[in-house]
Amino acid sequence: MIPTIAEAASLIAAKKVSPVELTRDCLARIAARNGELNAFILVTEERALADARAAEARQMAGALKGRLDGIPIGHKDIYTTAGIATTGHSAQMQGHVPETDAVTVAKWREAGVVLLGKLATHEFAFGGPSFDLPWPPARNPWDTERFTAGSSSGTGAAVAAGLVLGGTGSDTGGSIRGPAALCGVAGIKPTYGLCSRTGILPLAQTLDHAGPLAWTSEDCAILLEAMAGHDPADPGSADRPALGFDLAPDMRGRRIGVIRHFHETDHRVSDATLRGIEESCAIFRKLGAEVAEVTLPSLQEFNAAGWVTLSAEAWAIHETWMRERPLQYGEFLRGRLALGGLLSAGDYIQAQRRRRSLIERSFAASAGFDLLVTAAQPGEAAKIREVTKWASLEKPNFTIPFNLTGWPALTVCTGFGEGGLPVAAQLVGHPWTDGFVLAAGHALERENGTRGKRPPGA
Amino acid sequence: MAEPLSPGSFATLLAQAGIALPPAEAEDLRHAHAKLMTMLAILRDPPVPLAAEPAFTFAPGGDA
Repeated sequence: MIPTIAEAASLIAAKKVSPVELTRDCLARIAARNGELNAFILVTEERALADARAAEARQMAGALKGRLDGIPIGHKDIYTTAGIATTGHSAQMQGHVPETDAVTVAKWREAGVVLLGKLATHEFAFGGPSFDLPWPPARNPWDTERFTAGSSSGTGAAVAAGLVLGGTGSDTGGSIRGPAALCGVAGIKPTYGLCSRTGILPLAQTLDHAGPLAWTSEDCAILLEAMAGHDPADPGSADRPALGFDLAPDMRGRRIGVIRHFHETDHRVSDATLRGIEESCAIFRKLGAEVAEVTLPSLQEFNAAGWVTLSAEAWAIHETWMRERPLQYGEFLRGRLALGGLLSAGDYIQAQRRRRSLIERSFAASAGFDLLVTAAQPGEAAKIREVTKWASLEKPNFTIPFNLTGWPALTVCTGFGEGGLPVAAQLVGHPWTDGFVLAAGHALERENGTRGKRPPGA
Repeated sequence: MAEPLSPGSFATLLAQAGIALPPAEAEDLRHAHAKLMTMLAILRDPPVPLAAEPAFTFAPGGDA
C-alpha cells in the first residue's frame, strides 16, 4: 500500500515506519516502473538514502522537523538543485549542474524531505510531449499509451504511480492542474505571489506559479505550507503573513459558483467530466453550501490574452538561443517559441490591457462567492502520439484564466470516464484563499471515494 | 479563422524576427500563425477603452 504524506507522517512520528524503509519502497517502485513511465529523468538514489538516514536519526532522537521530515519527493527538472543536474528536459541545458537550490527546493530540504530525483517536464515547461529530446516524455500510469498532460508531466505520473509521495510542479497556463487531472491526483496552482519562483527556470514571469502535486488535497496543503513564503529576490513574491491551512472548515453557508459556460458551451467537456462536476456540486450542497451559476468572460477571451502573454514572454526569455541554436530545441518547443517571436509590442500590450479588464470583470462577477467550480481538462487523457503541436491554439483551455487573474486553483479527481481513466474538476478561489480551496478539495475527496483507487501496477 | 499569410509575406515576417526554421516547420508555423491572428483579433474586438491601463506585473489583491 502506498501511503499519503499525511499517513506516512503519522507513521514516522509514531516510529511505526522508518524513512529509510519508505524511501526504499519508492526506489523499488521506481526501479520497477520508471522504464515504462519515464517519470524520472534522473534518480538520485545515494542522495535519497542519505536524506532518509538523516531523517531516521532525527526520528529516533525524537527531533523530527515536522510532517515532511522523511517524506520521499521529486522535483520537476526546471527547479534548480545544488550539485544535481537541472536541464529543463532540454538538450540546451544538458549537463548543467547548478550550485544552489531554488528557494522552494531549499524550503523543502530544510523541512526534511528525501530527494529521490528530478522529474520529467515538457521542454522548458512548454514543449511537449516531445520524442526528439534527450529523454522521452512521461507516460500516464493509468494507460501508458496515454498523455499525462503537461508540463509537470513527470510529477503527475510519479505521484499517481506512487514513485514519490509528492513533488513540485510549475503552472503558467495549467501545467500543474492539467497533469493532476489526467493522472488522477491533486495539484494546486497557488495565488500568484505565494511561492517563490527564484531558482526555477522561467517560462513567462507574469503567469508563472510554483506549486505542489500529491495524491490528495490534504497532502498538497502540507507541501504548499512548506513552500510558501515571501522571497525578496522574486519581484512577484508577496510580503504577507503566512496563510492558514485548516482543512476542516464548515462548508455550511458557503457560496459556490459554477462557471457552467466554461465547460458546457465555451468548450464542451465529456459526459464523465460534466457528471463529476455535477456530483461535486451535489456533495457541496450536502455539506451545507449554496451552489449557484456564475458567468465570467468567455474562455476564448481569456485564452487569447493568456496565450499572447505567454508566447511573448517565453520568446523574450528564449530569443537568443532561438536565433543562435534553434535546432537544440525539440520541434514542438521550437515552433511554439517561434510563434511568440512573430508578435508585435502592440499585440503584447493589448493582451495586458485585456488582462486587466478580464481580472476586473472576474472579480465583479464572482463577488460574494467563496469558491468557483469548472473543468480542468475536457475529458480523459488522449493518446500521447495524437497530441498535436498546436492543440493549445485549437481549443481553449480551462486553466489559463486563473494564471491571468493569479487566483488559487486546485485540480481534484472526481471519478473515472468510459475509458477507465481519471476525470477531474477545478476548484478556484479568490486571492489568498488557498487554504479554503484545499479544504474544499479535501472535503470532496473524502466524499467522492476516488482516493482509494490507484493506477494499475501501483 | 484568419487566413494564413502568403508564403512570401510569412518568410519576411520570420526574417524580421530573426527566426530560421527547417522549411517544413516554417510552413507548419505559417498555418499556426493564422490561429494566433484569430486570437489577436479577439483581443482587439471589442476594443478596450482608449485610456485602459495594462496589467503588467500585477498584484492580485483582495483579502482572505
